Amino acid sequence: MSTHPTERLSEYVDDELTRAERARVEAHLATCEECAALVADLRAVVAAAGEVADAPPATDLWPGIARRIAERSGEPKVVALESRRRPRRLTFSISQLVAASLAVALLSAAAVWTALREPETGVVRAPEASAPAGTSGTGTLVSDAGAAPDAFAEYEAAVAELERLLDEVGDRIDPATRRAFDENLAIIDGAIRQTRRALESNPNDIYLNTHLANTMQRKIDVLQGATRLARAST
Amino acid sequence: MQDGTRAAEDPLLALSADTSTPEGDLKDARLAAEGDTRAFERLYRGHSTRVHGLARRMVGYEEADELTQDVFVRAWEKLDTFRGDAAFGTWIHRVAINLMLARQQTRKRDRQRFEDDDARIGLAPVRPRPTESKVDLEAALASLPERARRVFVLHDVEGYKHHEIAEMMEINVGTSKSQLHRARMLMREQLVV
Amino acid sequence: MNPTRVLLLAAVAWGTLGATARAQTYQTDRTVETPPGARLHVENPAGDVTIRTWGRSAVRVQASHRSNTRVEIQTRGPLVQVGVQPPGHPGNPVSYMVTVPADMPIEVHVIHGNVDVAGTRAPMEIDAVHGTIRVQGGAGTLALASVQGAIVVTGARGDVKAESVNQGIDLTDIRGDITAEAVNGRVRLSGIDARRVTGETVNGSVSYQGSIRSDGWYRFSTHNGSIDLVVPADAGATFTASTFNGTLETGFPVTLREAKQGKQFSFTLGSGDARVELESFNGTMRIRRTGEP
Repeated sequence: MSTHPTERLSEYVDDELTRAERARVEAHLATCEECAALVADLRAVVAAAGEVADAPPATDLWPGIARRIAERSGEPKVVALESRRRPRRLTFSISQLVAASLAVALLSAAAVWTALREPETGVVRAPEASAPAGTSGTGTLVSDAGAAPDAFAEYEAAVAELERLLDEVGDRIDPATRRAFDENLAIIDGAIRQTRRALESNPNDIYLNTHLANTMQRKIDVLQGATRLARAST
Repeated sequence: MQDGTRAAEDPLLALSADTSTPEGDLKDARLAAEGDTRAFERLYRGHSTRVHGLARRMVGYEEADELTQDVFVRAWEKLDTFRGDAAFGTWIHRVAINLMLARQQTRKRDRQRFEDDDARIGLAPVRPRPTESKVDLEAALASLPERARRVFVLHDVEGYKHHEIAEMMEINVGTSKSQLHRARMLMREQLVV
Repeated sequence: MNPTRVLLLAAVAWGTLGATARAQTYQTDRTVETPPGARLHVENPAGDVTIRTWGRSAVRVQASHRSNTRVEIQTRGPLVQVGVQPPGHPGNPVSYMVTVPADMPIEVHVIHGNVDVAGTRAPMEIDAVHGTIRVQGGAGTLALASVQGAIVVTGARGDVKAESVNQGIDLTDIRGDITAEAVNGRVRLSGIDARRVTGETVNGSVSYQGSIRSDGWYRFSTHNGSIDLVVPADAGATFTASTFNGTLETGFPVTLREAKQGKQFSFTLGSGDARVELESFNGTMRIRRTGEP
């Protein structure tokens, strides 16, 4: 080899070359002191990086963090860590349901149901309210902080955005998997359609309202999973 | 069991990173998700060192404090998305990296600064220089061009793989590899010669 | 399954696969000592991963693969990473048999391949795109997700979180909280001893046989399917069953009161302490006593 394979030496150090390339590089290194020294240096750099030892920040940053968290504590902590593990409970104000002109309006006692947009993933998720202590049964009448008739529309917008995103990156998923996702999204869509139709004649039915919310959440979960898979595929 | 009270004595001794365990972290994360700030402080004590180290290496000494705070505040907001199936340290690390990369993107756009990868646009090293003759790793990092530095930190210091870095930074795997090589060559000049 | 048999089968499968008649199967067999607290991480784009346990503080990796791939075992701090260079793809699968200490936490990611884990007493995180996940054992937390494959777990002593999109979930003999979510598959839970259980699917049935603890909360939901609960005769719980088009059947000698809003039935058994919720849009919901047909 007349030229030095300098550009491949990092990959060589990281064991990322194919067997053939690796053999070529090693053959060169056996006869080239300069490159052999370079490899040793690169290894030293990697070793130094691996040995980085951190010291705690010089200033205690906790007070500042606590202050900023406290500023947010006006809002109740809406979603519990195990929100998917714990069975969900929603309580409603029936008068609010009736007042809202939509067929579906979902409200909770602990917080207004607002669509939260997560910047990193662009996913909208409906928070589940934790039942306040002392509520019993289902469908307890409560007063709440105010109707959120736009929440449903925002939810639909988020689903549309995820579907569009999946359209863009979906060809990175292999066809069989893509088909599986599409079939399952169709199943969920069918369930959503049936539930909405049922709601037309039973707009105040609590089960139907929560079932619709849960099923839409499922749809977002599956779309999110598919998008994540697509982005992870090279 | 620590109750997290902040006494006059050095809290770092009582709640240091040595005492944090994945199980303890998970319990604290659950408590914190419900609003328990003392539990969140325990998480802070256990993981602030590593997050701050990453912040220093990614954005420099000057902004590391503020960025570390931002990371923990963001983590507090996003605790509901921590499902406990990875270690809390791994999760908050990812939160930190996403935040840092997003911040730098925004700042770049705001200032309309064009990244010239061939130029050595470094971070101003404000930290007092060590007295040894050889430049230490952190100071050497500060002199790297931004993209090469980020790839080097993520790959060689933090242990991410190229495909993960490519996804996080929205570049090709090939670019990640060449930036890494570039960074190592520049670091070599600073550290080894 | 006998490890050698797995490798032989894999070798035969690869032998009949593929365009190149020249492709030969190579075996890698390497063992590395592992420090206490070590965790296993396996990434395999294509090929099955089988994990078994032994008494040594070491990880043994036996792999069956083509000549142009290299199986790597890297120890990075507490992580023992097993993977292949260059990364595999469906035409170039690697099948693994990994033997680990029983208390070693496990993380496995495969795209095209089945995962089979047996004998561990440790937490695990497994996800597959096209593949069945089969686990016997496990402790702590088991997080299992598959897109195109079923999830089958027996004998776990820890919390199980299972998600499958296109196939069913089968959990048997579990002592720990459960979240089982499917879209197009049934959820079958039996021999469960848990405080919190969620079993959900959209297109499929949900069945549960297990304890109803007085401090427990159990929720079962499906859109197009039936729900079948078998509970101890002395269970003390408040049952709520909701449906649009479906029915509720139970042999318990209780009065069913139709709630004011919609089709919702609730009744109380014994102390009424536990909470059991059933939801089926279209299907039949049954609550039986243990031993009842």
